[in-house]
Amino acid sequence: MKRKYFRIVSRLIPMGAVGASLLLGSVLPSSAAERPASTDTPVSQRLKAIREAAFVAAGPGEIAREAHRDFHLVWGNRWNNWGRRVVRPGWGVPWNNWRNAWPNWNNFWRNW
Amino acid sequence: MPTIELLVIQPTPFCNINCTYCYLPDRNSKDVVSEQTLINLFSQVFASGWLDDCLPVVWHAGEPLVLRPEFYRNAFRTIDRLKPAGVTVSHAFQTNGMLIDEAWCAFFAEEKVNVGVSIDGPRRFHDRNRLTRSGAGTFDKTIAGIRALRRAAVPFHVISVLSAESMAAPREMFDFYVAEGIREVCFNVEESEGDHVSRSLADAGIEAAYYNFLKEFWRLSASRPGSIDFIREIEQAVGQVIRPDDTPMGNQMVEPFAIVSMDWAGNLSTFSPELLGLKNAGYDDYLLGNINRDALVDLPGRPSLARMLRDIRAGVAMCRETCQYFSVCGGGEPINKMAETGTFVSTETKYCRLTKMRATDLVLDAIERAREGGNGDDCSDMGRIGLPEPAASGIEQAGN
Repeated sequence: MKRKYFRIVSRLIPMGAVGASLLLGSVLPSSAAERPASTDTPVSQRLKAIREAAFVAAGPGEIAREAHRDFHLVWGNRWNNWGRRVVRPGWGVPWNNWRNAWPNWNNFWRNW
Repeated sequence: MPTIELLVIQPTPFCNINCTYCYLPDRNSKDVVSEQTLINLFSQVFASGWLDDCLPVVWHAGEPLVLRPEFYRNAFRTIDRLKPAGVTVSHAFQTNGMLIDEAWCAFFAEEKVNVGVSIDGPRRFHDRNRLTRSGAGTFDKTIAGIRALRRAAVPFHVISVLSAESMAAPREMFDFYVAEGIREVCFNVEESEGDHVSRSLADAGIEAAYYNFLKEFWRLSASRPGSIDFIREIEQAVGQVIRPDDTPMGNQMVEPFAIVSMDWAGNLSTFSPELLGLKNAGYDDYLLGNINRDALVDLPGRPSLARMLRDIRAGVAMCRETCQYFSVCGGGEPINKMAETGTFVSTETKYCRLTKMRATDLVLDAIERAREGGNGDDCSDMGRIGLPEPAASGIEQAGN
């Protein structure tokens, strides 16, 4: 199953989250079309396959270097009641945590 | 040793409006945090050894702009004096925007404050819930505040609480943001928190409505590059789904002291910030101590923390065992578990079905469509939507 996702994931990762979001958004149907047939596969299996493909596509060395350097800011489930993209202090370009600002592999508080 | 990732400070519990879905219990109180309380907090936070090199501070849990800029200038300089070299403090305000004027814009610019404005979309959605105490709508003043930010070139994002009605109108919402120059959007759903019981979450079909709203809003944004720069729910879900297999994953809301919340009186809490101010005899009202009386570094030993942590971890373990989506959220949010099920020792909530599961489904479905070669509308393929060829693959070596 990992092989199934390798091609698309290896194309998306170099674009960063912003570019990947733009491209993935562009393939969505305008109508309330039926969901893709492969949604029959359990979600956890699909997530695992995508991440294994991403691991191979990105290369563990580069990921690990950036991951462990700034773990607390980059990943996890964060409170979302303040809303902001993960940024370095102050204004300017969103913190480029990995390549083209790949974001938020965490769960954040959503109320800011 | 804990690591504080976010400090949430209630400068005042007072709010100048009275939203129907508000969870804050003391929003009529005009108390204000004292300078000494701030000194006690930051001197102990900086001395704790619990920080990385930067500390985001969110002024929240009441309307922060009911205090004047001079209050915050003084507070920021006090914090600067206490701050050790090598630590950067960033400040963020979440505001209803009604009091934003030129003086506030100047302050935001001078201090480089991250500004979030709460607006629920066009007037007909916003004024359903975001009301004054006399029941009048607040849209006009909020949009005036947003326009002031734009005139002053102050960066900002908005948080919009979605209702069943606004979820049914993604194009109207999109057109509104674009017309008002709002480029960074975050969507919350009306949650059950504290004494507030969400009406929207009880609606039949709300999950499908949320999925379809996000899908259409995302599609519209992608079809007009440069219109909306950031949709938080999408960017986070994309990042969480396409996450290399070896990357660690955490959940800020279930780690003790990852978030530290302090009310105006110096009372301290952790986990979900919304817990601060709520009542629960079994957990000592979720309070760990008071910064004016207690040592921050002693708080990990408090019995109330041990009880909360035991139950929160039990709930996280249940999520890990039973939920297909555990890897994208790490065990949910304690405030929503408590509000919806009455206990931390629980798993799936309506809140996580909406905000985590359906958003994840949407990204997974988009990946399937991209993998299959487009949206089916125009038989587009990867080449046509501009995807580059991948670099050399290591997939064969890695096996299946």
